[in-house]
Order: sequence, then structure tokens, then C-alpha cells
Amino acid sequence: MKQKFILTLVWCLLLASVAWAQTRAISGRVVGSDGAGLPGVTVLERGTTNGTSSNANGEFSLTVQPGASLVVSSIGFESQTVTVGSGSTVNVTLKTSATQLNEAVVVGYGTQSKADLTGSVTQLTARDVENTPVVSFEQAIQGKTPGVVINQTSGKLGAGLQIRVRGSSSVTASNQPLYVIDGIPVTSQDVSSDTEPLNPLGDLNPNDIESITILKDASSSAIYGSRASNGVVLVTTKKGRQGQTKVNVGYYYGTSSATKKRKFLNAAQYKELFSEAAINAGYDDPADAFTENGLDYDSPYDESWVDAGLRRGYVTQYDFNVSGGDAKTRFYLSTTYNDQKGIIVGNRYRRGSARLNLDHSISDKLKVGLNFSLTRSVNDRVPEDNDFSNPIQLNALPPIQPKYDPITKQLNQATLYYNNLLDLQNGMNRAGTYRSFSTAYLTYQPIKGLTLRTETGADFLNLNEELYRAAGTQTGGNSGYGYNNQVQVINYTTNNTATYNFTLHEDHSFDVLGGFSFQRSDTKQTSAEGRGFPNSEFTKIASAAIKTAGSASSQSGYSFISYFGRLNYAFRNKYLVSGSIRYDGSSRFGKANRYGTFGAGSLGWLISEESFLKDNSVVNYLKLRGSYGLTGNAEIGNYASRSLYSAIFYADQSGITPATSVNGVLTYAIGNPNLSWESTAQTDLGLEFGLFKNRLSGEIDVYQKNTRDLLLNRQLPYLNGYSLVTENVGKLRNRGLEISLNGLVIDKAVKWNVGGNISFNRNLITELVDPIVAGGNTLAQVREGEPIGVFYGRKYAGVDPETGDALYYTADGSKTNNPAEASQQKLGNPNPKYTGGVTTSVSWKGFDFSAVGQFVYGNDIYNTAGSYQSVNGDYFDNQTVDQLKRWQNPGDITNVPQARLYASNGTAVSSRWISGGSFFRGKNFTLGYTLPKTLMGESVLKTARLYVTAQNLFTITNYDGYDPEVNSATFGSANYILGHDFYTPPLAKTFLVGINLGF
Amino acid sequence: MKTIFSRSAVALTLGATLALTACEKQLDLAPPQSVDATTALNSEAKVGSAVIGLYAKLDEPSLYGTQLILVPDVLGGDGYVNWQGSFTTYRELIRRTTTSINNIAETIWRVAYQDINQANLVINALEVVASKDLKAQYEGEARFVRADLLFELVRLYGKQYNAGTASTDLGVPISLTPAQTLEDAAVEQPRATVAQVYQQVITDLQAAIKLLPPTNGFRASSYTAKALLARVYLQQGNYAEALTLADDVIKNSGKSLSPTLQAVFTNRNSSESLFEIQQNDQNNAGTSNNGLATFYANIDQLGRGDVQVLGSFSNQYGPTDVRGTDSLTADQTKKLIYIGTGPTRAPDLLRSGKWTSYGQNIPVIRLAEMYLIRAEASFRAGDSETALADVNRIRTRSNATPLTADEISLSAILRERQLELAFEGFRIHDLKRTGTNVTYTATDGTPVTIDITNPRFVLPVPQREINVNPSLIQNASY
Repeated sequence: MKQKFILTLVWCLLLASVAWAQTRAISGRVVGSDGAGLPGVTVLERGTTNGTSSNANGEFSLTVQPGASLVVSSIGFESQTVTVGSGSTVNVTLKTSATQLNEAVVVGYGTQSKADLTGSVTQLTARDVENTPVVSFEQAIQGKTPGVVINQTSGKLGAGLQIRVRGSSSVTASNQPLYVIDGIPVTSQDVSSDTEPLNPLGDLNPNDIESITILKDASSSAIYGSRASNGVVLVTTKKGRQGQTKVNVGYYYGTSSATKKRKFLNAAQYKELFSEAAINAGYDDPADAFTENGLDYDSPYDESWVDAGLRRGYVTQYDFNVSGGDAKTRFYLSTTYNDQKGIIVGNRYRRGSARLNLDHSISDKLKVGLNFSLTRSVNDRVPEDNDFSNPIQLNALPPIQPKYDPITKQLNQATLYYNNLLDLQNGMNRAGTYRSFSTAYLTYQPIKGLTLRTETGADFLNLNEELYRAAGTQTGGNSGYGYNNQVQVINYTTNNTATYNFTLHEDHSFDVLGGFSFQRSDTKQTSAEGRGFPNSEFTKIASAAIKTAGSASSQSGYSFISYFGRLNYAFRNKYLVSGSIRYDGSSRFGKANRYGTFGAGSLGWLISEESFLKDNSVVNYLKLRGSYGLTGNAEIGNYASRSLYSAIFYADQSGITPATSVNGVLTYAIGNPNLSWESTAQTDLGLEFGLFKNRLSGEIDVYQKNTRDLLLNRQLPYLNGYSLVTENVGKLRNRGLEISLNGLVIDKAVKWNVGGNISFNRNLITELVDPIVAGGNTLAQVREGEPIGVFYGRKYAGVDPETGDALYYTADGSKTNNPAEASQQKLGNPNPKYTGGVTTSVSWKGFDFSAVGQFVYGNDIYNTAGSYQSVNGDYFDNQTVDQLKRWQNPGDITNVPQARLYASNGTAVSSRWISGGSFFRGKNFTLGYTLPKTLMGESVLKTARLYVTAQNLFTITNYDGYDPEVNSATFGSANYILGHDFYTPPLAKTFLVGINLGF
Repeated sequence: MKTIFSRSAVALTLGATLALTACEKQLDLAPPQSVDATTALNSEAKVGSAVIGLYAKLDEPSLYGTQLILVPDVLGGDGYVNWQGSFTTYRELIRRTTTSINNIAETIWRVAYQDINQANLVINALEVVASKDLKAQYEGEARFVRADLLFELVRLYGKQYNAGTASTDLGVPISLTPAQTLEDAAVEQPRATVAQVYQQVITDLQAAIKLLPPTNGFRASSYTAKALLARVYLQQGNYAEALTLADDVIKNSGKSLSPTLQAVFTNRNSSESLFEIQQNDQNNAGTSNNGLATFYANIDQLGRGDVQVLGSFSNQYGPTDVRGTDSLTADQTKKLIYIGTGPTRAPDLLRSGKWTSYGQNIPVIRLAEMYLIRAEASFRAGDSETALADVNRIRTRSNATPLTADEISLSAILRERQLELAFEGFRIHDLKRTGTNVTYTATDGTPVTIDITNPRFVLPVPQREINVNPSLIQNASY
């Protein structure tokens, strides 16, 4: 949309410039490296706003000043500057951009060329996200985003992701970036009823995406004011271009399996360990201990329960799109069907989507457009990690108990823990979504350079969750259980902007933006819950005898009113100055603090434009830029500023209690009328360079983000009746370094490109009233002087060689076998020291190959399930194989204490189950072959490409759990419970073959 | 150029001003399913809703919904019940390996103080209650709830009341000020002594007895307050006062023993009920991770069967006693202890028949307890005749052989309390007040004795609470 914006602008300017004196007409053609005409390329007279764009055949014509140079650019291609000279024809061949130095970049409420940009942004294109076996686009760009850490958290399809742009900027408010699709902020927070989030961005078909821009520093993001502190992700969908109609058909199919399975004891090992544990606990006959728990000591079975929860999955996608148009009307139309059968039993995701993006020029000055999409997705979900129904929890079942009852041949119900395969046989857990992202706009150019634009967008989300567990399942009890939840989120925005571009005295270019925006979001939810079904064939709550407490309806909403402006100024295209400001008001803030002002300023110096570097044989591009600005974070919940009373039930009566109620969960939080946004002041210094005609290019950024007025839930003493208050207290800091490099190593018939990026971020809580202790079985804390989510608690000191007791460190460094005497200390850090990725691509004739590797280094993972599964036979949960190394005789040196049934020898939450979480992952390998044109001849088929892809091909890690990319959300979505594994499913390793045909 | 600027500026300003006035009220979005605290208690009806809220809080799993009944039976459960469940928090309690971050210890504390504050808020809002009777009733109910919870807290988090040391032994903080602002809610307070807490409990209950009507539907009446005060005095060892109150309740409350004990639990609000938490299938303490039936019951898919009744305890019932067991399953048994039938538990394990439905009411104080208090206090005062009659009234109701005049003794009365009030949250409190050690036979057959003064029979002050209120002193051994 933003590109269109500029295109229209230049059309307008072209017409206006005809009247000017001393100009002359030129024409030409822009072709790609394959010689085919490139439509929609921007051709701009250098130093002016006079320009045009190429037609379907790549042809253009333009009237220019004598001696002019033309800047020819298009997304995905290297820009070129050509001197017009004396001829009237200019032919240009554009090279596919390997370095992306001069591409057009989507920014807030507009576009800019990368060279003119004074902020820090990362832009990705359609090629980065197309045809990847993922649910949502963020999963496809892992490893390609310096400064942005994307953690998939779990292998569940459609699960919420954890995305951090330049570190965690908040402790209790959201840390997820603001997502803006085609100019409209969309609902990106989970709205489902489950503890573990769904990712609402899975409703956007990745194949519809033209570009993804991540605004990282204050200069680029401050235009989004109170919601910019976590970064802003701008997604632009594909547009039709003037020219011959293009038809694309794509298909892929692949299979997937778990990246890794944790290893557990087999039947013989299990019996050995637990017999020993029982004897050590005082049993004369270990078989008695088995019998007490319903286990058969003489069982002939050796079941692999780990395998029972995982399976081979598949992915398949059908993709069809048509685009084209003429000078008046352009269109892009697409439909996609995606079907993924997950590697976790019961997990499946299907999505069908359709999109129509339409642009029409009513006149040269007036344009309208509509982007409209409709998505239907169906997600057969996996229960949350901390649920006996989670198939990964099957690994806790003793191998001596069989999966099927030997007599009835039905699923065995007499297992130590619930055999949750019964849920799949007799139930469903489905989240179905209807989603529409739509935007309509009107632009008007009353005079040269001035564009008035009004746009209105609506993001309509309808989620229908349905859970059914028949009688005989654990949740179903004796009569069956059903739950149905209907959520409707209507989120609408209107943006009204005026943009004015002009150049004064040739040397001074201005780009001015002013605007107003209003957003309102309303969520309505209705749920029904029931028990008492006649039999398992009745699954709707209409058939439930008892409607239980989960039956409810509720509503929530928020609004924003914003005014904003931006000024970009360039002097001789060398010295760049930019400033932006936003005035934001929100219903979320306390009455005393309803409006806030945010803004940023930045400077840039294009050193390569200076005479001393111009035409330098080594350095062809060099830019130094710096920015400073203030942004906010408003994601604090909608009514946190108020003290509230909510309903509470007493049998058939209803009372009130001084608490807020969310989905029936009461929170005793006292209100704070002074509550306001969280402020982040960010300084960024960046250097961009291109060497050897951009054969080697790169970007280095250093930044410091100081966040103050942290929206913290300060814990209050329980004794006055309240648990917390949300306050603007506390400070934290993120500082970091991002480096990305890209090299075109060979540029002949064979083209070989190598790239890489690495990001360092150091998070530090600099001011905090009281430590925040996540509690439960977690180690997560927030403490002043430590990074967010620091692991803090008892330090495990191994095993006493004499007694086999588990030992812990005390405050004075000595060891104790009494966990209560252990001191609380820092145990680890779930935040990585650095993250990044490496990419390479090779093309030769029709072949193309690309590879993406992703790495995370220096973070710790705590296996919260360790106190059940790696605890030297304390209870009858099956144990991980490393527990066989238990202490047996005095003098044994080992880390695994003596096996003692029920004796809590080493069960205390401690550093015992912390391990390093560093990994390097072969993220994506794709080999493609495009059939030669000669083969097509005169057939309607124009292009054909076959490819094979391996996703998550290998993972190199020392983590002994399932998958090191883990962040269980089961303990609540608290930002500071990081790096905790709790029966969390691994990611999928996928191999697929695909074909794309163009007509 | 200038005109364009100024025109655009005017247009923008105009548009912005219009938009501002139209949208300003859009920023004032009230929460749809809650009300603002400033107006929440400003009428008689609203205060009445808050009083219902006081009782609703008592049904939370952290209070009588589960923990205040279950925890006293699990603490010191050796020889009595076995914890079979996967929740390590309970396993820590029964094995005395509890740590200061034990979630149960934290949530009982938290929710009890939430309700105490709500009681304070109700008392503070009484001036808008126009009806004099209603005003007295509401105050009585609020003081009853506050006293009840302070009593539960001091029993769990403090040492057993001992007249010699109660004025130095640490109890729990006493919160009497309604928290309405952030400043109120942030006040830190040290632990009061056990004596101070008991004094506050007694003061509140004495006031409640005066304020409450003699009957009050299924809510607290003056006799409920008297019955609770009798329990408090008994715990304190003030047998004379306990006797007077128990006697008063038995004679004047109009309550009578239910024909069967089973009916007290399967029916709602039986004739012997003095205070009962009201539940139904929709509003109850929980059906999967909380709730008494969830942990006790083991009837096919109903309940987790986490609490197993040990044979060493069920053997104490006589063969005819319907409170004991006939080793039949729930659908066949005529007795109160049955054989579980849940698929994931070993067969042939005993379960309590008191908690078998998620939506059943939870009797907190019933007349049988008053008879047993009167029996014990009378016996201690030398009146073994009353004691014998009261104990036998309880025994014969359940078809147990009546005791003879030779058999009545303090230990017989105390054993009768255990038999009658089993799985109702009395065990550890009775052991503590009578100084009875926990004894059981280990798996290898050796007898084990755990001293009742073991510090692990006292819950830890939640670590989280100490973190934010450092003036709190932790209990011994944590």
C-alpha cells in the first residue's frame, strides 16, 4: 500500500512537471537479470520527487531536467543510478538484491528508501516466508532478524510465540511487539480461554506477505507512541501490479517428526531402580510398594510411553494466486489451504484463506483501494503442558504398564497416571477461528507533493473453542464434560494523514507527515460449560444435564486517540535529519494520566556521498546514523487503574468481593489512579556500509534502552487483603549490539551469497521495590541487579558419597542434606548471551539452494518436570535414563542421590535440573530447480519450479530434554518465567517437496 | 506554499478538534462486569451482597472448600491417611518435608486475609445500612467470619495455645483496618502473639453472639458463633467456658442429631448443622484440582482418590459401627468408608464416604461436635455421667456399641472425637491440644512416634509474605 502511495505521488508529479520548461522526454525499459521486463519499478529523477513507474513490460517514460540522473529501484532488487546523458533511451538491468541496501523500506505511515533512513529497521521479503511449513510468519523468519529473538516456546501447532525486539522491555506488561498489517494495528494477543496462548497471527497466510518490517529503535518506532517500546512489526500484503495477469499455483507436501525425544527407563531398568528405591525405603518386599500403587511387579510388558505421545505428522499446502491490472485498476487475489497434522497425537491445524487486494485510480489525483481477507482456521489443540491430558505427560507412565488392556484390547485405564490417549478416543479440543483483516483507503493529491489519505481498517476475530471429554475420561468423569467458548474481537482503526514532499533550492528535501488516529477494540465472550451427557454420542452442551460454572459472558475493551507528526529532512542527500512526535491517549490509563507525548529525533550522514569517498573503489556506501527517543508500553490490561468489585458465588446466591475478575479468576489488586504507560528512552547508533560495489555489505547497531515507570505488579502484603498493585515503579535496561553482514562471494554464472547476523542483548533490572518470585515449582525471579527471569533458589551440591543424600549449599558455602537450610542464590540466566543466524544461497542455471541456520547461546533451561521424572525414584513416575547413575554404595561418586521411595531425597526445587540451553539449528534447507524457459516453448505454462525443503533438519545442543527451544507457558504467561520446560512438546522436523507453476 | 501549509494546518486542527470532542468520551471505558470500589458498598443492598461474598470466600478451595478441612487431616496423617496424589505440596505436609514456599501454606494465608479484609470493609460500610436489625446482623456475620479465620490461621501457623507461653508465642498478624487505598493495602505488620490472636477471636465472637439473630437461614446465627466459641475455648483448654457454650447450643439452638451421619453429608443443611458451607453443582470448590470430593472420592471417574484411609484407622471402628467399613464399594456399602473403584488407583483401598460429590455442602460445625465438647469438658470437670450419655448418643446414632460406665475415659472420649469427626479437619488440632504424639507402624513393621511438638506440624509463614513484609518472623525449622 505504501509503495502505491509513492507511485501515485510520482505519477502526479510527472503530470505536473510536463508544464515545466527546459525539460526533455526520455523513455526506456527496465529488465531483470533474465532479460524479462520488470513491472512496477520506481524511476525517480535524482534529487527530486519527479518520477514514474514501469509498466507491465518494464517500459517507462519520463520528462527530466538536462543532465539528470535516474534512480531506478524496486523491492527485492538493487537500486541503480543511471546518468541520462544525451540519448533519449535509457535501458536498465536490475540485479536481484543480495544486500538489500537500497530497497524501499516500509515505515510507520509511509515508505522510505533504506539510504535515507535514519532509524534501525529490519526488513524481510516474501521470499523469507513463502512456502515454509509453519503456522505463522514469525516462525519462518527465525535466524534472519538481528536484534529480534523469536522463540517458538513449544511444538504445539499454532501456539503463541515469544518475540523480543531488543530484549524484554517490561516485567509484567506485555513484551510482544505491536503488529500492524497494512497500516492497521491488529489483535495479536491471545484471546483463548486456555492458559497457554494461541497465536492470533496464524490467521495471516504467510504467502500473502510482501514485506515484513521490524522497527527497532526509537526513531523508527516512536510514531507509534505509547505502544512502540517493544518494537513494531509492519506487515504489508501483496499488491497487484500493472501488466499481464500472472497466475501462480503452488503445492507442497511433507512429513514431520519430533526433533528429539527424551530417553526414559525401559521395563527392566524401571524395575531395577524402583525395587532398590523400595528396599531403601524400608520395604522387605519391593513388590509391596509396587502393589500399593496398582503396579504389577511381575508385569511382562515393556511399553514405550514416550512414543505413545508423539507420531509422524504431515504438512500440505495448496496455494493459488492471480495478480495484475491496468493503469486504472490493479488486483491481487489469492486462496490457500494449509493442513498440518502435528507430531503430537491429537494435534492438527488447518487453514483456508482468501484475500483480495484492490487498488483503483478514480482519477490521477484520487485513488481508492480495499484489502480484504477472510481466514478460517481449525486447530485441534493439545492440552496445556501442566495437564494430565498432555500427551507428553505419558512419559511419566511406568513402562511395565501396557498401553492397551491385554484382555479387553481397549486402552488401558489402570495406569499410574491418566492414560490420556482416552481423550483422543472420546473427545475433542478444537479452536476454530474466522478472521478478517480489512482496510479501505482513499488518497487525494490536491497539489504536487501533497497527499491526503484516509484509511479505515477492521480486524474481526471470531474464535470458537470447543472441548468435549466423554464419560470415562479424566475430565469427563462419570458423565462427560463439555465446554464451548465463543470470543469475538472487533478492533477498528482509522488513520488520517497528510504527507507533503518538496524540495527547496535543489539541496533541501523535505518529507512532512501529520496525522490523527483513533482505535477502539471490543472483546465479547460467551461460554457454556456442562456435565452430565447421556452418552458419548452427545457432545453439545444442549445435552448436558448440568450447566456448570464455566458458563458466562463477559466483555472488555480499550481505545486510543492519537495525533502524530514526522519531519524528514535531507540536505544534498548527505545529511539527514528526522523527527517524530506522537500524542497518545488511552482508556487504559488512570484519569490523572490519560495522555502522553512520545517522540524521537535522529541524524544520519551518508558519508559515501561526500567528495572524499565518492567513486571510491572500495567503499561504495557508508552511512552513520544516530537516534534518541521516547516510546511507551500500554499493554497493562484494560482496567488496571481502577479498584473494582466483582461478583463471587455462593451456591445459588451471588455476592461481591473487592477483586477484578477475568474469566472467573479473581485477582485482589488495588487500583491506582495515577497509572500510566511505561516509558522507554532509547539511544541507537548505527553504521551501514557497502564495499566492493555492495559485494560485501553490512550493518552494525549499538543501542541502549532505558525503561522507567515499569508497569509492575508490586506485591503487597497479603494481610491487608490485596495481593498486588500495578504501579509505575522500577527501571530496567537493555543494551546490545547487532551485527549483520552479507557477502556476494561469487557473482558469475554461479552466484553464491553468504550472510549472517549476531545480536547481543544484556538485560538488567536496575530498580525494583521487592523481588518478584514466580513461586510454585519454578525458579524464576525478578531481582534488582539481575536480568529478568533470573533463576534463583537452592543450589544443588550433588550427593554425599557416604550416605547417598542429596546435598545443597548453605549460605556459608558448606553443604547440607536439609533443603530448608539451603541458601537462596543465583543459579542461572534464561536470557541468551547472543543469538543470531547464518544464511547462504547458491544459484546456478536453474538451480537454487538456500540454507538458514539459527543459533542461541548462553541461556539456561530449567526442567521443571525434573522433580517428577529425574528424581532417583522418589515416586513411581518413570525416570529419565540418567537416574540409573544413582548412588548405591558408600564411596560412590555421582550426581544422582540414593533411590529412596517417597523419601524426598533430592526432590526440592533446586539447580539440580538446570542445564545449558545453547543450540545451533539447521533451520531451513531448500533446493530448487526452475525449468528452463526453452522447455516451456509456447505453452501457457511460463515458469515451473520444483523444490525440496528440510525444516529444523538438525539441532546441535547439550540440552538433554526434548528440544532446547522451549518456554512453557503453563505457569501463566508471566514475562519473567523464561526457559522453563514442563512436559513441553518438541518442535517438528519436516521434509517437504513442492512445486510452483506460473501461467 | 505558505497558504497550503496554513490551509492544511487549519484543516487538520479543525478535524482534530472535532475528533477530540467526539472521541474524548471514548477514552472513558468502564469495566463491563465489575463496579468501581468507590460506589460498590454505598447502599444497604450492596453491603448485603458483600456479606454474601464473605461466605462465598469461605468456600474457596484455600479455605473450607478444601484446605481448612483437608490440611489438618493430612498434617500428621501417619497411621490415619495416606497421600497418594501427585501434588507434592500435600506430600510435603504429610511427610513433614514442607518448605516455606509450599503453595498450600501460601494460599490459605492469602485467601483468609482477603476474607478478613472483606469483613473489615463490611464493618466499615455499615452506616449505609438503614435497618437496625440488618445492620447488627451484618456486623455479627462479618465479626464471625473474621474471628473464624483468625482462629484457623493461629491454629495452623502458630504453636498450640499454651497459657504459659501464649503471650510470647507468635501467632499471626491481626488485621482490623479496612484496606481501601494503596496506602492501606501496603501496611506492614508483625505477627501478634498467640494470646493476642485468641483474645481478638474471643472478642469478635462475643460481639457476634450479641449481634447475630438466633436463626439466620443457612448463615451464621448467634448459636453458630457460640458453637465456634466453644470450639475456640476447647482448643485453648478453657473447658469450663467450652462446657457452658456447648451446653447452651445443645439445649437452646433447636438443633438435633440427624438420624444418620451419612445424611449429614449427602443431604444439605441437616437438623444437626450449625454452620455449613453451601455448594451446588455449579458453584463449588472444584472438580479437578481442588475440592474435597476431588481428593477423597474414588468412585470410578469421580475423584482422584488421593487420600487413602488406612486400615490402622478404620480398624478402630467396631464391627457394627456404620462409620467404619464393610469393605464394599461405594455403590454397595452401607457404611461410611468404602473401597475405591477409580481406574488409576490400586483396588481394595479404603476411602472416606463423607466426601463423594463435588457439589455437596460442607458441614463446618455440627451438633455432634457440641456433644463431644460437652462430654470432654464434663468429664474433665468430674461429671462422667454426662460424658457417657453424650458419647453414647453419638455412638448409638451410628449403631456402635454403647460404652459402659467403666469404659468412659478421657482417651475414650478423644478417640470418639476422632471416629466421629474423621476427615472433617479436626485431627491435628486435637492431637496438638491434647499433646498426643503421632504414632504409626513403618513399612518394615517398626513402631514410630513423632512428637506432636515437631515444628513441621506448624505451617510455615509463606516465604512470599516474608519477602514483602520482613517484619514477619518465620516459624522454627523453616
